[in-house]
Amino acid sequence: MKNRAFFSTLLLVLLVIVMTYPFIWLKLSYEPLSGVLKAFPQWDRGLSFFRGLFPLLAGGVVVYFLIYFFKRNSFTQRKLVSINHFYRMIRKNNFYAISLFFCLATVSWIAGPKVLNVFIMVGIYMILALGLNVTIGMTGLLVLGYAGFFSLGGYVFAILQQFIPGFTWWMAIPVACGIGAMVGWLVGLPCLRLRGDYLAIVTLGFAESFRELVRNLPSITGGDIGISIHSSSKVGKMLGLGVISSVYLWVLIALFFTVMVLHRLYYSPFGRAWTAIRENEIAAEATGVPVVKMKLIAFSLSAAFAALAGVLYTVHTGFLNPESSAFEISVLILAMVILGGLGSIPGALLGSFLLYYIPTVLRDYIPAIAEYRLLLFGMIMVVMMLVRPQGLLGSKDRV
Amino acid sequence: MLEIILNGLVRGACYALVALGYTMVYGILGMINFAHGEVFMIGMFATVFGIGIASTLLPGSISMALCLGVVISILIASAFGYSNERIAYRRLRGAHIMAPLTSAIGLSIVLQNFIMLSVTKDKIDFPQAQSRFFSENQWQVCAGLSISYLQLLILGTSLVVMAGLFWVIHRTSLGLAMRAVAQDRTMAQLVGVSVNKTITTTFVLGSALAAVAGVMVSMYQGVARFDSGYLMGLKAFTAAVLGGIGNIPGAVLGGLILGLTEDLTSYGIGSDWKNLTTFMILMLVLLVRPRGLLGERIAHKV
Repeated sequence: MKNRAFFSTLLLVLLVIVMTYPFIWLKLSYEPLSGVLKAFPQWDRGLSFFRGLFPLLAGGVVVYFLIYFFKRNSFTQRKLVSINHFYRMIRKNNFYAISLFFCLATVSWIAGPKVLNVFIMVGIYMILALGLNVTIGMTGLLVLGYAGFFSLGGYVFAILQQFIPGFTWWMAIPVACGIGAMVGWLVGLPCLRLRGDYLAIVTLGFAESFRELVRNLPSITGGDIGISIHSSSKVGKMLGLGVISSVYLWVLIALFFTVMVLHRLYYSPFGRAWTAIRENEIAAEATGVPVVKMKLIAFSLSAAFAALAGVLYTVHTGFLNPESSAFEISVLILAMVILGGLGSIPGALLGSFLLYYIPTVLRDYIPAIAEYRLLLFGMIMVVMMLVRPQGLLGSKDRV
Repeated sequence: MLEIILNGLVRGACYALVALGYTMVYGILGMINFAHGEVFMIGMFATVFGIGIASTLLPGSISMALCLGVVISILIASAFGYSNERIAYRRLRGAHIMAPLTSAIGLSIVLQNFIMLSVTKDKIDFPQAQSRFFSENQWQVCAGLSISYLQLLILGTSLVVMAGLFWVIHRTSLGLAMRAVAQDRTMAQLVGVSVNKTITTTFVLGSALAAVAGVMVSMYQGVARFDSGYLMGLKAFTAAVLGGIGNIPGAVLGGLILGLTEDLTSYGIGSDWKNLTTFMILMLVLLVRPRGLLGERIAHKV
């Protein structure tokens, strides 16, 4: 029996090599005179593909062994548990939370604009991952087009500041969150009565249609070129700091606010209802949880947080184009939540740190990372589902 | 007007072929095989590569190269479908519904980026030598309507393939096994149906249909791109939902209706709005009649 399993795995590997052979190793070329298509093996092409892939594969093997030891070895387990423990310590005691906030805030005085830029983006992605975690991790609904809501928030701000003089970014936050939640409600309404997987495709369709809508209405949204923000509606200087430092502080405040709200919600009747729906929808309905209403609340709440992140992103970059609702961004956020841990707040924070900060830092040393990033995220999603479906920091009994 | 309807039908036939793969897997496993659109895209690329390989090995014969290219494309796409199921889905069969779906999304990203990185970021062209015969000859039906051989080929092939699929499902022992597994997996296993084999065959069949669609679409459009499977998958899924997911005639009907609507929208409002129309249709169907046009009402099982 063991032998048979081994041979079928060997056959599978052989099959994969054979079926990927033409795409990796062959080069297509037209004969100049007859115009007939010919295919020739070209070793450089395949080698350059594998050369780019190699650092990722090596990294993947390292991660795999980490996970493998994580199951066996108590050392790594203690390391990861200690992140959870740290988070628990902070949330138990407000004093720790406030001092952590001030520690992170001092970075804005010390760090240069390049570092702050990366930190701001990490913070925005953390808000996004936390927001997506509400639907995917806590309620168990898969959302694929999350970047659509992110882009929606950004466009609400960008359009309003274009037509209303004197409209500044902080006025946009409640408006954008409100509109985001409303649109989330409308998008979720038809599919949340149905099985969970419809929501995934419908939100994907929403993000794609939103992008198309923005492209088709160039008079309002600037079309493909995008829309830029008046300098008067951007973040002003405060506390004698530069603009980037002020943006960093505001993103930090928004991040702490998000963590606080979600933490409170998770341990409230809402969070309990969401967990019940995730664990067993029919049982939850039977015990009196208003399933559709709770799902809608979770979904529109996460859409509102995406809109908040969208406003912050637009304020930071001063520019927005339709590519902000691209599938790649949704995938990036999804991979962050899945890697970090479903339903775990420190998990979402860790996931977005790992998947945004590390590739950005490594990009200077390994240029191939920029191209191979998405391939890596796809692999992470598949491997995590096979090996450790609850993510790095999630606990087994909750999924 | 007649030409628009004809174009819509041709487009719809391609959607229907891809939608069949979604519907078959959904019917048998109850999961959305998100990577199916990418298998279609791989079918497109494999056709071009297959023609290249065939005309290098057997120089001279254009039509032979086309036939061999189609065969190679179907083989490669089926191999992809088979290994997708083996690697990413089989171990997750009993898990929470989100696990196989997430894995499928990851797989589709992997496949898309694999083609982008290993082949090219730009489009590749379908060889003119092979498609010239079909695209240049026309059949004048009546005064206002002429059908190119290519359109005839697409309509004819998809009709034949769909009829063949219907025959397989309703008249062969394999189809019987597939229907049994779709109804109740445990029970089917108890009466001696090999569940693993049946599910694998379903994936292979669906991928082969996607490859046929890939051959025809790449010939019809003349180009293939690494991201062409993404929108196609979204639309084919809409077609499957429109007809009633899990229902095979429904997928065909949904595909044809969707193709017609898209071409009529392009004609009436402008081709920029046709993807938005698709999405609106998906939302409306889910809101008004979530089981689709031909689907049956399914009770939740505890």
